[in-house]
Amino acid sequence: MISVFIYMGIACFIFFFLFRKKLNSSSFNGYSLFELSVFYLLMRICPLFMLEERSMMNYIAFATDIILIAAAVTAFGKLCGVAGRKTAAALCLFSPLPVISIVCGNAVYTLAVFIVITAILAFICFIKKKFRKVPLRTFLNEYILFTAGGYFMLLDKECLSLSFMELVAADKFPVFTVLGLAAMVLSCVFTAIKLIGVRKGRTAEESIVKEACTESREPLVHESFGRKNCLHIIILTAVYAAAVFFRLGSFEAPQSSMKFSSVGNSEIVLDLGEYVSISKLDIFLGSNNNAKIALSAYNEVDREWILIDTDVALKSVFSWNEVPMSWNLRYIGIVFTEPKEYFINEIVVVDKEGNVLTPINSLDYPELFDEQEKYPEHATYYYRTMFDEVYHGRTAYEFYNDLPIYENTHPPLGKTLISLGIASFGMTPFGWRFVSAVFGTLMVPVMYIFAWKLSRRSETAFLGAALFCTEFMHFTLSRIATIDIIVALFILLMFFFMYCFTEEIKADRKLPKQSVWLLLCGISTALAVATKWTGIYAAAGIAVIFFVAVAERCVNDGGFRKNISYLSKLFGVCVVSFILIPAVVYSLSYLQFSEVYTDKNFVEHAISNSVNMLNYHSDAKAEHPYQSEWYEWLVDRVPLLDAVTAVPERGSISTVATFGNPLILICGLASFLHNFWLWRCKGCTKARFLVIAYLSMLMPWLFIHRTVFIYQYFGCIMIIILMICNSVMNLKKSKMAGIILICLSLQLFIMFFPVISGIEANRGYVQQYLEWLPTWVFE
Amino acid sequence: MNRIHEKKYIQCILVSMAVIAAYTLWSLFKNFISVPMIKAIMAELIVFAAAYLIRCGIKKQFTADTAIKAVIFAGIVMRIGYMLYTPCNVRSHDMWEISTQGHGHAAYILGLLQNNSLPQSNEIQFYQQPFFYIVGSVASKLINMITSSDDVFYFVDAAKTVSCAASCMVLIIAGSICDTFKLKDTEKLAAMLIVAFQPCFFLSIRVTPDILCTFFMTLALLFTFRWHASPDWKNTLILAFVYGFGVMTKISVAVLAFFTAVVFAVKLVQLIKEKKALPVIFRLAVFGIISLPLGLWYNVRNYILFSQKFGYVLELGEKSKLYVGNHSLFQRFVIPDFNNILSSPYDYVWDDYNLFVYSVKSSLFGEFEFEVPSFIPIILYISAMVLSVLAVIAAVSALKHFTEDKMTAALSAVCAVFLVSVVIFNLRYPYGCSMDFRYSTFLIIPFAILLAKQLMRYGSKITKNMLYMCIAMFSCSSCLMYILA
Repeated sequence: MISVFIYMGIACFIFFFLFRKKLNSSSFNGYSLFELSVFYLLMRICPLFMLEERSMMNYIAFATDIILIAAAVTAFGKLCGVAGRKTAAALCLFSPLPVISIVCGNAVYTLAVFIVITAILAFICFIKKKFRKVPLRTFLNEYILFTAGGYFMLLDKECLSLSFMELVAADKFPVFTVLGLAAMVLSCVFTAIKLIGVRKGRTAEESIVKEACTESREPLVHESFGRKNCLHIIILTAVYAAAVFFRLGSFEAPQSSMKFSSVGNSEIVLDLGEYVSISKLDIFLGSNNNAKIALSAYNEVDREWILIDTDVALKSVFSWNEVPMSWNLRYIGIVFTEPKEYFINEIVVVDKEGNVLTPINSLDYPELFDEQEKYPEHATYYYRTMFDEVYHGRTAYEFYNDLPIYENTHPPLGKTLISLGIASFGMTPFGWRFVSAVFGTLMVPVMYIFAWKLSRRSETAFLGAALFCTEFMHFTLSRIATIDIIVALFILLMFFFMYCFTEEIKADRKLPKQSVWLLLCGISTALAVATKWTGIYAAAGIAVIFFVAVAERCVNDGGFRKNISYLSKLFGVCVVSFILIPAVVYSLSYLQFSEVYTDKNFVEHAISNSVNMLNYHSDAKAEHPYQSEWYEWLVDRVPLLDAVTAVPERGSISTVATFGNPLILICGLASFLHNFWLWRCKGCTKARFLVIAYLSMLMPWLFIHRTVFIYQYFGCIMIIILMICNSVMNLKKSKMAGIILICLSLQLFIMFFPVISGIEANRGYVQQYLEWLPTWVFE
Repeated sequence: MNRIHEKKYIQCILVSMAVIAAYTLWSLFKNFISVPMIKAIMAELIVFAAAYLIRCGIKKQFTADTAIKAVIFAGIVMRIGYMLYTPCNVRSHDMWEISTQGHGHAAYILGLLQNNSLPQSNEIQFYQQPFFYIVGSVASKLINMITSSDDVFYFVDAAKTVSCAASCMVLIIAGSICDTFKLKDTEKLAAMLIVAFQPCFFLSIRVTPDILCTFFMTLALLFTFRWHASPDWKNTLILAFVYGFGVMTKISVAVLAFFTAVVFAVKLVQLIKEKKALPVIFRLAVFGIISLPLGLWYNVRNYILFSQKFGYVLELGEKSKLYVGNHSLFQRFVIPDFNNILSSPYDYVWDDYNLFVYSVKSSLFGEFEFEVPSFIPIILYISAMVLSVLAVIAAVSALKHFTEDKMTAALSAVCAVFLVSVVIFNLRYPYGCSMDFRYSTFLIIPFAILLAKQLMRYGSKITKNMLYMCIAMFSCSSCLMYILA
């Protein structure tokens, strides 16, 4: 419910913000039918489907709402004419009360909607009769205040699931309810004051300041992509690469392993030679996670094994798993309690003083004690897998070694690419992170070129790339062996090629030239979708952009009929680009599956695994300390901690946290609004492109109820940076603004470097200077 | 102008006498006067003031001046009423036992009254400067002599008349400061409404030196500006005694001395250029000769007797439940926790850590909770939040318009200096109680003036409407809150 309320609040805010601006324009003559359809989709269909479950009452309220809208619009039409009717329809759609009545499925709210509409109609009749000269828009601010009041009142009630009587009890503090009530009362008071003022002969003051709507500021100089830009790209990419590859991961990790299982080789008995006080065992688990072991110590007096712990789980693969064990003993028994096969790469026995002990019978288990020097003092991110590396890094290793495939909840291309790093540098932290680092670095030139293409100015391009280099999430995802950075590069390319296509179409270039970009866009789409399904969201975005651009071209060029031959050829190119190529690439990405599981060919694997993935993602719900909702991403509320290791003797910690650069995210929200305004009020097509791209990457998450994390917002962050570039480009002092933004962003990047890179940092510094929000806990 | 000033002095004396008279009367008839009766009288007097204004409006005799007088009257009624219905052990701070055996504010006063001596140690609250306690014990002695009371509780309780008188006088002085800044009628009315009904001026009426300290700060601010306009003997001597007694009340009055020092320096440079500096240098020397010993003698005494450092404040330690140093500086000073803002208008003394939110909440309700219908504190809280944000905008705007109005910019600088001192204090003493607004009550006056002056002059229509709306909501809900509390 909170999600729906926040969505509704944002949507209404943007609408009324733009509506007030639009009213200033002399050309504004109500909304078109197409626009009203989009509004209906956004304000009725979307909220309804944002609900996790819908009851019959929701649908009844939905149906009643249609009748009420139709009745209200007809009545408004009679009172205010055609333009007024269209505007009234938009205002009806962006009223929170009907939306709330639909999502709550509450009959009382539906009745309230009816009463409010009737009251507004009566008010309009009254104004028309008694104050003929007063335009209705004089009361727009009061209407907005009243609407906002209603929204706030119901926000408290519905989100806390309390009745009004319960809310006003002395022990409750319904801040929003009181705020809402106050706003509603004040709107009535202000309306009355205005009417009294008019009656007394004062002219009804227009609350809306008229200002001419000018065209968007286009860049003054269209520069060519020359040496300067190449130099910028080389410098930024090199600097970013240096930062990303700095302590990316160890080049070493225990490699040799022994296989254990409760059936067969199920025991390890270690003889330390004498009685020693040990503090822990550190076990580096190879392939296959969740090994269950029982630990015991041998009592030489009773000649019996004493069980220390019967249920120790070794959870993380390719990582040191610490088993605390405060015992004075000579013999340690380790028994594997589950029939699954597990690989142990190394075991380290640590005494109370922190010394590593070598059992005198270590030669009985040569693979477990042959790489003791690789045991780190502290098992930071540098020496082990972190977060989803236990799935993606491990599966990449399985791909490379033709082992059974563990992770199949995402398409295989991303893991196939990660396996290239493992092939080159071994199954070491550096090896499994190498490809991510390369992809993350490659995104810098792409972002630069994209920003340049958007602005045709090297300053703006530099701003975009510099902001991207200092973006925390970009940096963290470039240093972790997960598929997110890989799909992000492909998505960025998708949008870039689609933008190039829209440029070509705007310049009315020939079809072959347009087709090149479409083909490239199709290939990027194929690669993105074959890496992660979030590519589909981007595909939806580029589809909207594509259709809008083509429709605009046809309308400007004599209509669709005249362009039928062009459209049919374009259709052919699209089929190849967006259906054929993606289908082939997606299927081919399953080649590895068909090699490991020979019962099906790769196409069958692609189909069956996709069905399984869909089922898995539909109900992948689990409580997670770092999970967050889409609206929390906008304000960077909950970072995801990939790895945390305390170094108590030095009073420091090593943390890798995934979250956005707060400057970019907050400026991004402002620039989103600015770009919306540039699009809707100034007709800026670049802003339109960016807004659609952003929404296409964000909107799907409104309908997803599985456990999600902030890194899902990375696709949006890429577009946010471009939106900031477009906004800055349209400012008067764009150069100065750009320099300030870069300096601040860089400053934040340096400040937060310890918690995004994992390098050891003083605990006090992290706690005192970096934990900006109560939810930002980096230890 | 001098007549107006004299009138203000008389008003201050009269209001102090009224406070003492009201308390004495209440003491004499306390068995017959119940708390609801006091609240009913408060409500009636405020309704009377409102009715008088309405009558003036109907008779077309309504002027801003009349409205301001009514506001001051209502403000004084609220202060005296609150003093009467709130015993000294309710919503108190660091009172400790009401006996000479304790080490709190109560023991400090009782020690002066019963032993005729200053504290013989600097434990707990005995490190505090003595002026408030001396004046409090004198007032207490006078009142208890009339009422013939020998209950130690009322010996301590009567000392809050000093706080109440100081709180009322601040309201009158605020009017003088508004005049100094040449506020227009509506601007002055807006500023006076904020000062009159700001609850921290009611809550400060307790047995602590905080409001007396605010009173001296307000006086120091007024006379610093007056001294700048006319650096004569009268203003110099008043300023010297204000600082002397002020620092003798609480060391934190010295924070404002930084501002006064800058004003002295600026004026001196100006007079040196005009070759008229010599008499002023002499006056400043006299200023030092009066204010320094008067303000610092107790510190010197405590240093000699107990090796107490200058600026000493009681340390609670990191294990204290009030310790907030475990939160980041950003959480404490920059970004408020929105959950905390929206969850309750009252401070969670043990959990809250953001200076801004804690200050706003404690300025309205102290560190206490009240049993009143929740919509009243919420309205008060929302309007105070909006006013606080607008006040900060106004202060920034004043600095922006520095060249047009240097005096207002200087007032904004005063706020900045004070806020910096509050932040530094909180950095040194990271405890919940350090964030209490009772130490910063002085800020209300400059911020109210900035808010009224800057926003009325430079604000957009929406901002002005928002300001009117908030001030009206703030004043009404404040009255309701502290009549129903």
